[in-house]
Amino acid sequence: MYSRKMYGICLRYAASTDEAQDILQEGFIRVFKHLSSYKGKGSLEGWIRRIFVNTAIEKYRERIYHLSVDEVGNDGEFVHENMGVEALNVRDILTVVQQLPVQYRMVFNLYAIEGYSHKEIAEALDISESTARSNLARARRILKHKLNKEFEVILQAI
Amino acid sequence: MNKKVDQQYIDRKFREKLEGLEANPPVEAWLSISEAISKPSRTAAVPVFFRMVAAVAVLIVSLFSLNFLFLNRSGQNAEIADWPVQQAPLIDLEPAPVTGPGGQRVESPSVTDNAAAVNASQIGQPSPAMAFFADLNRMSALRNAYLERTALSFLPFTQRGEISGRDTFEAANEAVSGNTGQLMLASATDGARGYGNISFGAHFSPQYNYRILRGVSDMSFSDIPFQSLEEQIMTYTVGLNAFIELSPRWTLQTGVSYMNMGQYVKDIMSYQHPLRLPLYNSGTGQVSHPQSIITSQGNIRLADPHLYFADNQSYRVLTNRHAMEGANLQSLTESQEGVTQVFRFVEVPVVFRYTLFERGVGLRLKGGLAASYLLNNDVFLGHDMMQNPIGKTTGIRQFNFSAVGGFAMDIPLTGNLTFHLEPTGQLFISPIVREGVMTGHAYPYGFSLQTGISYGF
Repeated sequence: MYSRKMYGICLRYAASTDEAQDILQEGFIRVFKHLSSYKGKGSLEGWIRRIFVNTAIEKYRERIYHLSVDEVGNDGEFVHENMGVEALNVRDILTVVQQLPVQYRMVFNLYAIEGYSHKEIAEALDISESTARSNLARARRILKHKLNKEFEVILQAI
Repeated sequence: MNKKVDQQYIDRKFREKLEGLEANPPVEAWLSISEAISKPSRTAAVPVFFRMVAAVAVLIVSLFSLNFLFLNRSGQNAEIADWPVQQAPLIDLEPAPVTGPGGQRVESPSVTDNAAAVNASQIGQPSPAMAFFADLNRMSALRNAYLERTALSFLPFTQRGEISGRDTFEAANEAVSGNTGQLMLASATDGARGYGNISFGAHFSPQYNYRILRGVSDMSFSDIPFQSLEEQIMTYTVGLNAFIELSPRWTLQTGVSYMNMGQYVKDIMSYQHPLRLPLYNSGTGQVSHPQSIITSQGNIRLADPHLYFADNQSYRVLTNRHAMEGANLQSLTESQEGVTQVFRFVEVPVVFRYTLFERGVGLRLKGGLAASYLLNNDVFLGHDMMQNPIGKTTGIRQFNFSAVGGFAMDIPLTGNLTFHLEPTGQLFISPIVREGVMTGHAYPYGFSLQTGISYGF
């Protein structure tokens, strides 16, 4: 019932479909395990969604300790081919987000899509608020940079 | 232009586009979830397996100990029977007198002191080695004397006065076995060994494998005629055996085997690019195969990105369309037909063998249970199990039990070596696919011709 939406969330937080599947699997296992703890307060979808976002955050926290500086990447590394206007659909936008360095992707998703505050993001990701702010700014800069060439057209398209 | 691109605008546009993003999870994701939810914890399964192995080990050690302490009578019989009566045991031990019905005293074989051989005090200070061998001699003599007395006690009183020495044991054997020694506890001159003996051996078994289906009509995807779309395969089993003689007729057989089982899934066509280029790409360089194949023995998760599969007869091949976007399926050529599933187990059998007949060659009926632990599994293209695997079967039960039965022909070779030829059948009594993966059940079975050699101690 919620699987399509939850898989959409997983795809946003993941760098690949394999990673998204990992989050999906972990998330659903948690949902099944903790279903009895859902007390009916708020919507079930919201409760499940929160579990998936938290799963993605935990996956990130597990992974971030194993990332070297090189893997984190920098603003100039981003490459995306064939960003033609005709190709600008949800899948391409998703791909752009997926190709953000992992720290920036997490912060951008939590802030721009989920509506977390910088304080909440800092707590969730175990970083400082200023780091959260700077990561968000860098994420936006990367997105802007990559979409810059045809940005006007892109804005019309999306 | 850049003025338009303010931060909030970017956030909002991405949010609008991605907030409600929906996508169909790939089939393999559901299989993984189903597998993970229904999977018993490894921490629970592994200790059970090791507990069983430990139990078998304890059983073997216990019986081996018993063999040395009490049960190895016929072996001692052989030792004593070949011993001339004049060669008495080496220590002072007055044998208990045996009295017949008529009151006459029957002397058991003479037990005298052979001081020259063992009394170190008469030859001066003993060396540690001499003392050790003297102790061994004394222990041996004590056991022999005990066994002689035991053997004699099997005889009717009327016969006790008429026999001595070597005859004692042959008569005792007859009294115990009720025949002339054709089975166990046979006379020492036959060279047969008595119960309590242990043999160790190794075997190799070519094996015919297939499965029985139960509840197929209820199976998920029940329209798939698995019965006509899958075939048996030949595999093999190798292992180490221990045979423990429990009684004249009963023997316990156990050990550890490495067993291969599986089946051939036919009418699955595979295609690949003539230059063997990868067909799928997730967009980030990480390849994920978008197809799975349903079989009666689990779901095959494919992993080789160079292959595309199609089902000629049914709809066993599931394809994740989302992941197929961008797949390069142009100019593919047919590769092979069918795939082979192979499951590899380590198995501990506990089998009882009943002697039907033994005149040189022994014929036994055997039956028991075996516990098997899934080590790994592979799926191969076509029938060739020597090439690289193309995927794995998911949903397979880690821990399985099976019933074992058949015949065993034991052919003595030289000395303590025995050749075994054992037509054996084996049927899983637990379904190989875990609960919740499919509603129908597949029970693998195999027929093998176990061939092996054992050495008796």
